[in-house]
Amino acid sequence: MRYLIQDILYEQREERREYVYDSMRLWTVLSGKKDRFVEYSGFPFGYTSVFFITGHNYMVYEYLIKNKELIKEKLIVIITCKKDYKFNFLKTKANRIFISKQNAEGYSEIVYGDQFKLGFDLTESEVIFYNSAKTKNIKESVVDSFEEIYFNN
Amino acid sequence: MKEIIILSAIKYEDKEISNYGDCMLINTGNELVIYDCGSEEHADRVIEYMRKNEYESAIVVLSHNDSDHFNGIRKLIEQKKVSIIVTTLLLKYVDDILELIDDKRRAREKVKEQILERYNNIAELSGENLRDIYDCDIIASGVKIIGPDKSYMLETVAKRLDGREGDGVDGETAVNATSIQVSIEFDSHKLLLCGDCSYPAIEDKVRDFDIIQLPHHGKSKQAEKIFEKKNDQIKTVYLVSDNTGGSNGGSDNLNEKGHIIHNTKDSDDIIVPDIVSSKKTVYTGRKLGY
Repeated sequence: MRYLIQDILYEQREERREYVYDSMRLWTVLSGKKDRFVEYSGFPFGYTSVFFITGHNYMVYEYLIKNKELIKEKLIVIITCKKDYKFNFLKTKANRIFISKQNAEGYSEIVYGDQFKLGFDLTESEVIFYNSAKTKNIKESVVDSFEEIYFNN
Repeated sequence: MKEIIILSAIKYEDKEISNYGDCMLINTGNELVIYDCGSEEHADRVIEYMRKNEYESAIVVLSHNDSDHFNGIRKLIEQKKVSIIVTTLLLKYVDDILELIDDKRRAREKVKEQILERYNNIAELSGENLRDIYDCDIIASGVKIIGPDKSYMLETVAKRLDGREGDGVDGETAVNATSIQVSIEFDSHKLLLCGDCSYPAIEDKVRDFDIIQLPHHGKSKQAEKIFEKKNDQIKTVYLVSDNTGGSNGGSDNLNEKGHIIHNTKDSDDIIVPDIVSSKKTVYTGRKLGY
């Protein structure tokens, strides 16, 4: 499992690492800093083939375009505002791509984390995922909590 | 609806060890409904509230027989503050219960005797102005009784009185499992009060409510099932009336992270319209866009 956060969210890193542990039962270790994203890898390494990335949409998009060859995970979870961005370039036969729930305008709204006793503000999908993962495996929780993006072949 | 208040025992004496029970005040603006009153301390506060809000009497709904929901009602009656008490009047259903027990050895009088013995607090109310929950579903404007289902109630009581299958029902005692459920509608909100009820008793209703009292003082077993059922409804506000001190665990094992929960154990009285209509709503107004 890899979990990437944009540099502007770096101050949330410890709370997010606690979130990952609470929800996925994975410790995280810093495994890289690149193109304005900080990467954490879940430990045990290779436990599950999921790639999470969160940040502002234009930064997320640029990172994914630039590094698409290095993203081999079977589940790709993009936590950002979709707006008019398209992620077709990421799609392979082997993977499924998900995005955080969007409102009617194509934005992923942020909720107050302290209302949920979580240490950082986050998207609705991340709240649902946090609770879903208590009773389901990570893949099932991703499917329950995020919106899958389908592509026309 | 003027306000709904879940009383907290946080300022009472010996709150760490004493069980002051539940007490909820529902002030419609024209009528006052009291859902349970578990201690004299709560009763004193109810009486003071009535004085300040110029209510001479109130409608009491007693969710079930347990003392931590009943003990303050005596004082309210003594002080002549009660117009009517709505609860489950099981003596009306002796024949139905006898039929459900289906034990040819048991006589009608014996079943009556068992009801009076095992539902002793309710029996103590004999002579007061009582109303059975299945005779009056609408209590006041916006306040109505929605459960338990009558057949569930009678089957559960029959099982308890029969005794051959033990007293447990759906993970709760029979008395708790059949707690009276009240729905309160105000503005665009729906609030569910459910005493100490079992999860199956409310399972098919919880998704219809955006504010829910977690049953049995926030015990984690029922709460976790409700959370799972409403997993995608993140804006749901959960209320916990845990004034149980060290007496029965209450919400001690409740994991509150991931949900919007207000608990009387940690705060002063919970005033419902305030917590759902404050400026700080769930959404920050920020987006993960530009």
